[in-house]
Amino acid sequence: MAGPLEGVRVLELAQGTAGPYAGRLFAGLGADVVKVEPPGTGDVSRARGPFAGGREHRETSIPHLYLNAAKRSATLDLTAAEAPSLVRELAGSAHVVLEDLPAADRGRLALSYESLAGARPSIVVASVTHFGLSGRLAGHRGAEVVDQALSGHMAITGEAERGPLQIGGDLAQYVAGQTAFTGALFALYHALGTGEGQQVDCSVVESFADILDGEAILALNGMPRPRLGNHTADGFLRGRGGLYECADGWVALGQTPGGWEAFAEAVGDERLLDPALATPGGRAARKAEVESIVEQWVARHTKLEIYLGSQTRRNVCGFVATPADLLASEHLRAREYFVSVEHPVAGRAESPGAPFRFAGAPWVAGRAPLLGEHNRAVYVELLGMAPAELERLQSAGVM
Amino acid sequence: MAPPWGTADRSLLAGIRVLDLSQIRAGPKTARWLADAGAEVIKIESLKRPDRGGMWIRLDLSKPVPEEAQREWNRTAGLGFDQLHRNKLGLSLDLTTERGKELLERLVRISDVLVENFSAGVMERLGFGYNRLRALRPEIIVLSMPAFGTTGPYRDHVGFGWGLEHQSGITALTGYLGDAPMRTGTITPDPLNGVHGAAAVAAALVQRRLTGRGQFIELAHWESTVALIGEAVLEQSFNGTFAGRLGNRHRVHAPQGCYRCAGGDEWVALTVTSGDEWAGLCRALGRLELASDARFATAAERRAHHDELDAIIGAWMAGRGKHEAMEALQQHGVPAGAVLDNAEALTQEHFRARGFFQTLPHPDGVEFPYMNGPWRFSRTPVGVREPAPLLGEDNEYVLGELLGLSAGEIAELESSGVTARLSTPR
Repeated sequence: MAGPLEGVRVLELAQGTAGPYAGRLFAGLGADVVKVEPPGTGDVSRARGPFAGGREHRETSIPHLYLNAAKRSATLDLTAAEAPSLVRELAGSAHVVLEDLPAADRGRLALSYESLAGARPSIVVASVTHFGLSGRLAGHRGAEVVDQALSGHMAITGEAERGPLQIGGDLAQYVAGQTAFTGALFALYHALGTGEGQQVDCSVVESFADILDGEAILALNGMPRPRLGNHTADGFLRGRGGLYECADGWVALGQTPGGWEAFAEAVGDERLLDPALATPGGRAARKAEVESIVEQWVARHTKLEIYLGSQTRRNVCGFVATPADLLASEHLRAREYFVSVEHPVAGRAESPGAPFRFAGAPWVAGRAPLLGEHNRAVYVELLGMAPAELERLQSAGVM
Repeated sequence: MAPPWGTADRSLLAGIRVLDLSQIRAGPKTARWLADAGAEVIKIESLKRPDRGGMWIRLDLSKPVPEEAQREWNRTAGLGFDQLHRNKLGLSLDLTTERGKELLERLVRISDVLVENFSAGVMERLGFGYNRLRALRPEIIVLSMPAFGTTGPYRDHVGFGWGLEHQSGITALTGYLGDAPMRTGTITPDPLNGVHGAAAVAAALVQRRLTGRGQFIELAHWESTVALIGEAVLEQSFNGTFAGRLGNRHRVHAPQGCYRCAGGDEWVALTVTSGDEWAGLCRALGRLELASDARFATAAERRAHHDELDAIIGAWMAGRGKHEAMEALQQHGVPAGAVLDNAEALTQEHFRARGFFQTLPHPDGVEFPYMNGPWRFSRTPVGVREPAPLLGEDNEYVLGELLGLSAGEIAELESSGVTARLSTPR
C-alpha cells in the first residue's frame, strides 16, 4: 500500500539536522523529497561523522545516512547565476519547500512565500532556523548547545554544583524537525482545502522551549525547578527516584504505580516488608537502612532483571538503555522496529524504523542518496531540461 | 454549530473535530497542538477518572504551589493542566456506563480524529477498538499511544515518561564527561512523543484530504523516542561503537562547553564549528596569538588540548555577566548563548517580540502567560484563545448542541452520574 503522503513533493534546501529530520519524516511517509545539496561537498552532515567502518567519505557519514534516507539528491550551487531560476522551477513542482538558508541567500533566491506565491499560491514554505525569521536574535549564530542554553533546558539538567548540562544527541534540532514537519503539514492541509499557502516560521529555540510545558510556567510564577541531578529528595522511598548503578549499568528505581509492597517483594528482602516501612514517613525515618538494603540488591542484579521483576509487579523501574541494548531488545526485535538498509558505499546496517506506524502503510526505510544521484531524474525528467544543458551545467560546476 | 467562543473559520484545521481521550502529558500535548491550530477538541474525562496530568509538576518541587493554584484538580491556575488543555472543550463522560458508551458512539459518528493513550487493550475492552470506530465513522483517524505498542513481549508493561526516558537511550547519551548517565530536567519523552503524535495526525489529515481515507496510527512511546537518537543506534550497528557521555563537549567541534560567568548560577554555552568561528573566538577573548598557535590549528588539535582551552575561556567568562559575554561572542561570530532558567527563557525579549507567549485573563481574576506555540504562520492565526476547561464545563454545548439532547436529558445524565461538573462556578 502507498505511504500516506504519496503524491506530495517536498523541496529540501536544508542541511544539518533540524530541517533534514523534517524531510526524513516526509520521506518515511511516502512523500517525494528532493534534497538540493551543494556540489562537491553536499550537506554538512556528510562531513561530520562518525563514519561507517571508520572510512571518512561523503557517502559514509552516519548522521547523513540516518537523516537523509529515502530522499533524492540533486546538486546545485546556490551562488551560481542559474540558481534562482532553477530553484524557482523546483519550487514550482513542489507542495512544500523546506529551507534553512541564511537570510542573505533566502533573499537573493527569492525564496519567501510572497515571492514564490505568484507562480503557485498554494505553496507552503517551512523555514527552520535557530532563532526564527524575526526578532533581535534572528542574525545570531545558533548551534545545539547554544539552543539548549537559550531554551531553558540546560539550566535544569545536571547537578547544582557541577553546572548546567546539555541533553545528549542533538535533541533540540530533532524537536525542531518534528515541529517544522507538523507545521508544514498543518499548512499543507489548509492549502489543499483552500488553495492558500503560507510561510511557516519555525525556530529551534522556541520548539525546544515549547516542550517545557507547564514546568516553564511554574518558573514564571516564581518557582523555578532546581538542577536536581539524578536524585530527588526522597527517591524511591516515596515514589520514583533517580539512577542507581546495577551489575551491568544503571536503573531508575520507582514504586509507581504498583506501590511499596510490590517494590519490596521485587527486592525480595523480608526486612522491607516490615509494616513500619509501609508509609513514606516510616521509610524516611529509617532511610539509611532501607537505602542500603536496596542498593545492595541493585548491585547484585542486571538492569533487565530489575526492570522485568518490577514490571511483573506493576512497578516501573526504567533501565538506562545503550544503543547496543536497544538493538538487542527482544521487544523491539519482535516488533520488527529496526530496518536493515543496504547502501552501495557504506554497506548494510540496522536503523530505527517508524516513529509511528500507519496501518497498512509501511514506513519507507530507503537508503540515503549518493551526492547528485538524482540530477538527471530531477533536472531532465522532472523539470524537462535538455540533457545537453545538464551536461553543460555539470561541467561548469553548477551541479 | 459554533463552540462557545466561536470558530476561527480561517484557522488551519477549521472544521476538524477531535475527541481527546488521552491523559497526563503526551496525548494531551498532541491534542493541544491540534486545538491550537483551530480544530474543535473535546477533552473527555470522568469524575471517576479525572486527568491528574496537571499535578506531575509538583512532584520535584521543594516549594508548595501557591494557594490560588490549589483549586480542585489544579486546573485553574495557568499551570501544567492549563497549558496542556487550553483551547479545548471539557466533557465529562463515564465510559464504563452503557449510556456513556452510547454517547461516545454518537460523538465518534460526528468526529474526525480520536486520540487515546490508554494501556494496550483498554479501548477494545471499552468496546471501541479501531474496527468498531471505523464502522461508526469510516474516515476517522485514530491515534493510539500505548507505551510499548500493542504487540511484542512488553506490550502489557507499565510505562511512564520518567522510566522511558532512560529506556530510549537519551540518558545514556547525557552526562558529564566520562561520568554516569544523567536524566534530563524535563522528563523529555512525553512532550517529544506528543509532538510526534501531532505530526502523525497531521500526515493522516493530509492523506484523508488527498484520498478520502481514514487511518489507524499506533505510536509506541519507546519507538517514537528512539527514532530521535537514531544516529547513535546506526553507529552501534555499523561500527559497534558508542560515544558515551561527552558532558557539554562535542564529538567533532572544539572548543565547546558551558562556562561559569560572574554572579551566582550564571553560565554561557558556546561552540566553535569552523575556522572562522575559531578566529572569532580568539578575537573576542582578546587573544589573537591563539589563532596562529599550531596547537589549536584544527578541530582535532583543539579537542586534544580542550582542557587548556577551557581554562582560557573560563578565565575570560569569570569576569563577565552572561548576557554581556554572549553578546560579545556573538559580535565576533561565535555561536554562544546564555544559560537561561525557565523564566528567563520564556520572558526573553526575543521571544516576547515574536509573540512566543501570550497573557490571557483567567476566570480566576488573574492573568497568566501561555506559550503560544513554537511557530508563526504567516496567513492563519495559531495560538492561545481560551484557558483549559473545568471538568465537564462544556457538557451542555457538546451534549445539547452537538448531540441534540434536551435540557432534561442533560440534567438526568448528571444526576445519574454519567456526566459530572466541577462545582466551582466560573
